[in-house]
Amino acid sequence: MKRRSGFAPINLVDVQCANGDLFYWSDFNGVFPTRLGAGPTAQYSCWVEKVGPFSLTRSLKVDAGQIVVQNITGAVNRDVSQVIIRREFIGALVVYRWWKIEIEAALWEFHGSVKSPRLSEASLILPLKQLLDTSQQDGLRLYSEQCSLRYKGPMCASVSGLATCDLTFGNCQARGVQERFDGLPFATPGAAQIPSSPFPSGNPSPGPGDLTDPQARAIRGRAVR
Amino acid sequence: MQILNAQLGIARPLAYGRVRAKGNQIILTQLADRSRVSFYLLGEGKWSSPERLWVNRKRVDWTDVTQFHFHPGDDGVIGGGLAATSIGNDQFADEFFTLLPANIQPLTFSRMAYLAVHVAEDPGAPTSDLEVVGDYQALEVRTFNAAGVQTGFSWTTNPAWCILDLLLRKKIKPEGLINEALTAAEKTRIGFQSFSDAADYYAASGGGSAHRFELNVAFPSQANFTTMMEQMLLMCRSYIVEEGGVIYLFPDKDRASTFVLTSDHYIPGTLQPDESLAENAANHIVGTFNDLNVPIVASVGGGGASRTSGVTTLTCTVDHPFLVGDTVNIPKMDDATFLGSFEITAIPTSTQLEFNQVGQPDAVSGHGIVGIDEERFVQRAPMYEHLQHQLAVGQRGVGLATTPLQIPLSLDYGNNTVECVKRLMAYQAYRYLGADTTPWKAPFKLVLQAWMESVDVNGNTLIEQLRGDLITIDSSVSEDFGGDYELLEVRLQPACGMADGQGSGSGSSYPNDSGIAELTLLGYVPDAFIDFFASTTWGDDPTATVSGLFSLPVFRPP
Repeated sequence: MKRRSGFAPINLVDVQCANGDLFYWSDFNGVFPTRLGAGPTAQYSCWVEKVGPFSLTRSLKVDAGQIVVQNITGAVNRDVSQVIIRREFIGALVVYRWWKIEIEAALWEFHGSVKSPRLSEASLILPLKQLLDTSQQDGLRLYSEQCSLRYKGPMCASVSGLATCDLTFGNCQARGVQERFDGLPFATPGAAQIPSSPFPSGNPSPGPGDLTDPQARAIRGRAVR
Repeated sequence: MQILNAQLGIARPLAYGRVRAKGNQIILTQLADRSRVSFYLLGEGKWSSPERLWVNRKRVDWTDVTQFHFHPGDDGVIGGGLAATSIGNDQFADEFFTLLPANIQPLTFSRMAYLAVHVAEDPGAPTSDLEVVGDYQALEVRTFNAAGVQTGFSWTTNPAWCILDLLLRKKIKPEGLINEALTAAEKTRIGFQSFSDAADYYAASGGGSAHRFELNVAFPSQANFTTMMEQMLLMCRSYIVEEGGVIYLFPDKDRASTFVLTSDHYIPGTLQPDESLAENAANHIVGTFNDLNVPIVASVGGGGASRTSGVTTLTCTVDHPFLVGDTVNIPKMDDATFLGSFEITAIPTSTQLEFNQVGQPDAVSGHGIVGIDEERFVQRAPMYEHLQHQLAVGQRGVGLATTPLQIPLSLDYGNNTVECVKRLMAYQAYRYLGADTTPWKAPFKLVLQAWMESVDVNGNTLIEQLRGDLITIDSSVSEDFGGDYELLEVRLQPACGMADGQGSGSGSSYPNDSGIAELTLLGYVPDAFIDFFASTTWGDDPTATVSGLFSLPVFRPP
């Protein structure tokens, strides 16, 4: 069998902006099942002009793609221009489906987010990156004299009526979650501050793994060679 | 003396498996009786427990709650208060806070594993500093079955569950509490079948070792998520693929082809073979790691271990260096009842040592190893040489024989065993350079184009093939380059009904590259996945299969 026979698959694009606004675009007018939003179906506007290429790798290099939407339709103002001017598309969640109408199923899906949209008089380009974009984020939290948790977030869990928190221990106590405070408020007046490196040379071992300095390996009481 | 030297602005370490840790000393106070109180933040919780602890380089009993309180790093209990009463194994404020000046606020150190210490003055300490070092079982992680049902939350060295934990912490549930249940939507982001299969693969015996791969790694300084994930994947020969919003974990292992690509699918004239991946690949790999095993200090021959009335006598093959009071570790003996850590009670002769095993039956055994726990985590750096590639790139000139040219690569395998590291290094070389045999031939890289909608003779679709899957290039595509290839990269260009600007829906005229998948493939080398140590056995020469500190020959697989 060379290829599937029948009509070529169409392209369905679901977009959800950070403010919750939803958009359903396609290169084929019709009502289709949705992947974002309440659904189960939505009218897909025939705005998609081009999709791809999608570059996918086996490595942690970020998979990427692109959706191009026409910016021609509209009466006085262009429809797409109005859409993008009024809301933020950076970081918008996007589900692209390569959709086979005859079987009403996606042959392939790409889930990603919008990097930075580019608008021209004729089109809107939405560059996409995969959700598992590992390159952007630092891996570890940092020690601070203040708390690093988001106030009233799941890890903080404060139910205080106070609207804000300055992330100090005093504020944390006043908001009833001092047991979750994760800062180190020890810079007390008069206390000797001794600079030292708890993990010598940053990464202490020749590689990840040993959290001590090399001298610590020479444990007292060990056998003499 | 009161010292507060918490290091602020530095990273909170993240550690999996076994680690040797010192920690961020946030408080050090000397009391009137010259005893000292100190607190050490170890890393993001929740950790499991200490295994061994040394104070001023002397082994101590970490379970002694009059001196040591280990707190695993759970979430602080809201409403639990900050009364300094805890003696460890929870996340309340520690009792030793009561010994500190009143200006030091007791805290729970929510979500941070920490050790609180109160030790007497030590006139015999090697330095004036208080030095506390421990071996720990670090983070506890969630485990799941193939259906996504959580089956546990515990300490493990299985890479699958450690990698999943990192994904959950940083990407899927970054604000989750310790062991908080995943929601249904969160679970849809994870290919549990792949994680479960990978866990089984890692846990299976890799030949001489109990498990094929384990993950023991710590990230004490700032690193981005990519670096951390690459490190973990490197240590278990694996890769991650996200497809359709689902994250899959796959060990790179011997596997079968899942798509047969024939001339029916292939777009003629697009095949581009080359050997670019082999051209600059490393052929001299040094794998650095901290050895988890106990290095060999002495060997015990056959019949060299005897136990009578609870007293064990070991007779080493040569003079040993131990003294009475040393704690020795016996990691290997024919009779497993001799294994463990023991304090030497007597040195009858220069080759013998005695320790107590009260309650154990009389027995005779042998073929063992004697080491010391202090020497765990010693740095190792075995190397792997791909001689055929070195010779191939080592041309010197007309009339001159080739000499090996080393193209070096240093890789960090965290805390590991020499056996696993050798397996990982061989894979690293074989994958791009092929087996180190004569005649030698490097695997080809192919780039070709095929129709996205291709379906093979077995009903498999090309579009469903994930990166890392094997694709068989049929001889109808190329007589010369037929065979199995690993899918490295895909470039998809779906057809679009409006691509011609008419907005006429499917079936309109498409650009030339519409509906095409460009595949980048690498020749498949099954030898890269051989468990090289399957046939070796324990014997009187223990260096055959354990991490012999004094015997580490250049590794070359059979």
